[in-house]
Amino acid sequence: MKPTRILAAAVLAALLAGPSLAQDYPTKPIRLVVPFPPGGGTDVVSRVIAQKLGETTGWTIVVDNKPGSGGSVGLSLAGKAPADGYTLVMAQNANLVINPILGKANYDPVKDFAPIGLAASAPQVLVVAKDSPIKTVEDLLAAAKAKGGKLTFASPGIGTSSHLAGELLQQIAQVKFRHVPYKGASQALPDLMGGRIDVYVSSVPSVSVQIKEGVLRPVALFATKRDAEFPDVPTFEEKGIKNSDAATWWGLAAPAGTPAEVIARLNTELNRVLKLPDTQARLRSAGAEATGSSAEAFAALVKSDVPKWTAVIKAADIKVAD
Amino acid sequence: MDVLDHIMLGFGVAMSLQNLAYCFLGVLLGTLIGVLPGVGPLVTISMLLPITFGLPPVASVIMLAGIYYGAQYGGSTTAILVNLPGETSSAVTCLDGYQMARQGRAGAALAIAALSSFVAGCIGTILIVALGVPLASWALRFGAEDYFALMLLGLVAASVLTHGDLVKALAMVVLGLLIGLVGTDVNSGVERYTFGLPELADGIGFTVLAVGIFAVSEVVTNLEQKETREVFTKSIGGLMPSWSDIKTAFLPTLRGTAIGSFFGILPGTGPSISSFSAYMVEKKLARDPSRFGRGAIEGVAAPEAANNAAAQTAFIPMLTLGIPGTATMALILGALVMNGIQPGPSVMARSPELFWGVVASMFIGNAMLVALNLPLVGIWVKLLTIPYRWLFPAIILFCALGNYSLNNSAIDVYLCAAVGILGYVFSKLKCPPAPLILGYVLGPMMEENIRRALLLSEGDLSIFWKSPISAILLVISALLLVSMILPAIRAKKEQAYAEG
Repeated sequence: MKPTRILAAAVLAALLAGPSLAQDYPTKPIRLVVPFPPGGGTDVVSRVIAQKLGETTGWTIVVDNKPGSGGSVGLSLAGKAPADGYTLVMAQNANLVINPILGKANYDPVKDFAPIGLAASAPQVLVVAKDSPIKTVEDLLAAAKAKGGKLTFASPGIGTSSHLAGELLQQIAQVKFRHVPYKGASQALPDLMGGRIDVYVSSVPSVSVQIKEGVLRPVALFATKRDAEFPDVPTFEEKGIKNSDAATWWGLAAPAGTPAEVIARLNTELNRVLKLPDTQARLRSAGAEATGSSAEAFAALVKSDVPKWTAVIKAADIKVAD
Repeated sequence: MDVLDHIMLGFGVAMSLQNLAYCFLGVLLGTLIGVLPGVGPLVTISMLLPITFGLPPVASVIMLAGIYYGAQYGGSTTAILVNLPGETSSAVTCLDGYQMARQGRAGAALAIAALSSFVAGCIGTILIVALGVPLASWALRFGAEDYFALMLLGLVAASVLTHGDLVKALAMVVLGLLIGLVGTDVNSGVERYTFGLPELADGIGFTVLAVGIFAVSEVVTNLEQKETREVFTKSIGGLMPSWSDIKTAFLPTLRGTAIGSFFGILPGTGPSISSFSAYMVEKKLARDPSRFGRGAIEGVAAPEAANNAAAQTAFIPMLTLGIPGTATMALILGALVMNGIQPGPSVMARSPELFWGVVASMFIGNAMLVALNLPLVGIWVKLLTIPYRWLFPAIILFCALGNYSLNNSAIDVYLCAAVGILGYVFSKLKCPPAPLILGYVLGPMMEENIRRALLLSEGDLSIFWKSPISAILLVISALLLVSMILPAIRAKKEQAYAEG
């Protein structure tokens, strides 16, 4: 075939495919990759949104759990999938942004994915045992200084967003904690309650039961605004620790190169279901707040998060890959 | 008096037709998923969680709890029949249960497993009622150093697991430790032995290892033999255990219950440690330890009792402190919260119908499980009369399905097949598989806790004897070690004298 013919064929194909793609999409089931096992926060957020999208549009959305390596397995798989709008992924800042910085993933958060829109967010919180002398942010900073770097700070694991939130706090407030990593909350909570560690940083949903029951006391949130569930808990921001937002966010993304019409269509539908009271209530019961955004806003967030966490990780000297 | 009132209230709640139905549904589902390897309570409960929104809170928690402890009953079935551990906690049951089946005593093994599970389930439930709150606060006293000492004791005791060459058993323990190291190190976040494969970053799963080394390698071994396994079909004796079986299994069941209850309360120890510990204790106490691994009924009764007791007492830290000891407990906790129930020290005072209703349903559920499982014994045993050439593809299919369902990843299936071949090589070399599994389970936890203990103590080793729990456990480990080494030395000496 001559080059001109190829060009002509391509133009024709584009003319035929372009409008039909946006109008007919979707013509087959959409796969939503969830990079965590069933039952976790990401799974709940994804399933609520998938179900609502399906109910209100008549689309068939198949949730496909592909857990592993803190979400890297699922994201990597989705990033390499055909960019036809039939493979989407529920990304989280921890796996989309942080894992590549830590060298735990082989994808580029900006180049390999086409952001569709933010879905939900959940704040992180610093908690202490109920009988801890640390009651306020001031107490915390004073205790950290008095202990000279020996105040123990537990997290659900190295490189998790909770660990990084704690590191961010240390860097902004210019204090030093001793980091003690755990494998999730199951052993960290007994150690916190038993007085073997001083403070614990966690996403709000995994400690909200203990806070309500009074066995743990929240000190402050890593967020830009207070949480509706705990209106009495201040943010670090209010307490003069600027730029300490470390909320967990979830966003819907597609492989890079997915047609812009498809992205726009998905963004419209995503934002529509996120406004439904039922969606919001079900996300809230899982500890997440429905956010929603334009694709551009999501892209901008990813672009600004990359240098932010790169700096934190570098300053804290966190090395997980050789 | 007060407790009695509460229990009456609980039974009043649990005996309602609706709650009975959900309890039955839960234990039935639990039994079924227990039979399938890989498909465990975690996956099932997370799938059913959205459905529970429409149910009254008590009914949904009763059902989810039933799935959880019901799975412990079902897990032993395939372990005994075809050496395929249906749940992580039933890997130990393979050791003697399958041997009993090979001797035509599958019925007795299945029945004893169900009965000891029942006894343990009921005692575990009584513990929740009677001692829930004090036990939970006691468990809070266990620090990283105490966990380390506990794991060390387990590892020292692992040598009990062997019959025959001690060196081979030790080599298998070390190999297990090494396999356990694959994946992301908790303390540094560094990936070890993953060869850059993200699928290995979370380590090699217990199901992959246990199913491969027990079930797949058994299939390979059987295919090697020309004649079909007549032992299975020929002499399937009485379906029910004899009176002497029950007498032999009685004390091991009680001891297994005690051990399982202990581990269930400790958050994060996992279900397989309790059954392993119960098995090792029985073998140590047995007058003739050589019977173990060759179809000893105590080797089925004790671990089955232990895993059921642990499944029951695991509710203690969750209900009284809101601490989920396992991922499954975290899901049930989530279900409670979504239903507007706040677990914690005051849960009994605030929602007595829920607390006592669920506890009472556990007694009922355990009774249902026995009623469900004993008649099934006959059907299960009939399965063994199926010619092996039809049975083994089904076994392999279940292994593959179960492993795939863990992470929806084909790599787990390939890994399991590779472990199966490895298991075959081990059986040719007469290397026992149990120490390998134990090393795999204990090693990573031991490392995690010793490093955490030293991180918290700033490298001060005295933390290990300053904590009374750790000190006592370390002394027991030392005594056990001496008691094993001394006879060996004496024997060497006598040999030397004889030669000299």
